[in-house]
Amino acid sequence: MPSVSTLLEDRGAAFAGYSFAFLDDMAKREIRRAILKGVAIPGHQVPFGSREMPIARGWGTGGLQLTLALVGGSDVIKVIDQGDDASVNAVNLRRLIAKTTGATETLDTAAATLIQTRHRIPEEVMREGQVLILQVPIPEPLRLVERSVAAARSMHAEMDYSRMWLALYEDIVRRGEVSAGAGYPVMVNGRFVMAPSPIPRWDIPKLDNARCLFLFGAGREKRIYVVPPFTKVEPLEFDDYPFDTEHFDGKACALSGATNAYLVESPTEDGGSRWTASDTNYADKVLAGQEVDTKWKR
Amino acid sequence: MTSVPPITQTADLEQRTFRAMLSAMSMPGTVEQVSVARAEDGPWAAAIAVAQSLLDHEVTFHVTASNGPEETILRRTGSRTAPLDRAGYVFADAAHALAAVEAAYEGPLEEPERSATVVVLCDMVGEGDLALTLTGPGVDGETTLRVGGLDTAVVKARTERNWPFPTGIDLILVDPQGRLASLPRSTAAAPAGAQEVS
Repeated sequence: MPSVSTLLEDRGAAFAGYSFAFLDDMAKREIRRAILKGVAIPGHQVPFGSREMPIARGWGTGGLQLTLALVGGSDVIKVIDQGDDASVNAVNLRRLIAKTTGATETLDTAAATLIQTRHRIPEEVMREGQVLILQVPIPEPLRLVERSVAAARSMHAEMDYSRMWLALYEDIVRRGEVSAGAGYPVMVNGRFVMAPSPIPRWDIPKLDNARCLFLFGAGREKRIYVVPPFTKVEPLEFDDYPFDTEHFDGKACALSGATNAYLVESPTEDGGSRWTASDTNYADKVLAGQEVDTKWKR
Repeated sequence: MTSVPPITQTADLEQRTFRAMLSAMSMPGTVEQVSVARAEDGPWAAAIAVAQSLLDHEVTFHVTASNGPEETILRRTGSRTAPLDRAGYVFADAAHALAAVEAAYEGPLEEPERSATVVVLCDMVGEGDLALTLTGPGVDGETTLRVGGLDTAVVKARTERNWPFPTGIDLILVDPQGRLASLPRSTAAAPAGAQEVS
């Protein structure tokens, strides 16, 4: 039997038998073709042959495949899970990407060339040339109103979103507001209704006319779609029931004191609760007294 | 000690060419430089690099050009040829660009992603006598793309084919110096002060 220390030393060598960036060249080519078509048709879901990954479906296989199709050895990669760089899933994905490509790992939003994310858009403004890769559980925004994939596709083709609007209307009648919290439906480029992935409402306005490129990957459902930079993205809303984000009036991050951030509530030992910024890199920067540009809206 | 799986020279070229295409396609008007695989590829080198990054046996291509790179693409990608109106990827020189844009395959309204991508070899990309004013997704307001040796009729034909969105075809423009720009179907392009000499 080899010694434990030998095994630990060989940990990296275990990747030597794999392809660069894990995926084989043919898989990458297919994903790359789908991405380029997605860019040309903002908000349209492009099918692709989602591969088996070394993580379970539902754990970011779509996002991971996009990242691996893009990444080169000179990239700087960041992975966040609900805003957090340090969650087990984020760390594992980041390590897998780095170890199969030699790409540099970072936690710094500004330093990253590629950021893979689950359910958050960073607070810090992303610039031209940066790519945000969002993991998507359900790519079809019409799923709730139409179960048939073929029927939903023809509704998109004909831009027949009447049932979507009706569902929003019924929601308002029943509850007095549109109840969608995460993954609020948006209209892209005035043409396709799109599921923005389960990002909070707080992040929805960041999609509009941004400087970075947004790629969406749904591994289980085998769909890729794209919001290019400088593209109009509007939440679906009625004139008298306008879209609104979450409010954190008077609250600040308990760790960093940040106020202009999406906050999450967690229970404390004394039975109370505290609020902290979900974007940990942003909180770290605020704590360190750094100036951070959070003004996505231009 | 971590050892990273090595990247082959071909995979490296494909990855870098793809990133150049992604940048050009997501920000129309941007001119990217593509690394050339082999010196003997001549003026078609950038187009061949595009073919190598995107084509394999799962898709088809068509070359419409005098002295086009059909043999090279077949040999290096393992892709198959198809008639102009059925191929997924079309490679044309400037003289055949109009025919290519007019006849290239267009996917149905339900599956607009199946439309062809047309790669046109122009004299120059990023400079030249034709100035195109671009608007649409990926463009901050308005931008200008200069192209040399491309007939305005091609631009006009493209506009006609790309209406109504999302049906239409996507253009990738390359030149013998390896420069590359894109006109996805979502981009509106119109000649601005055409035939000016730069």
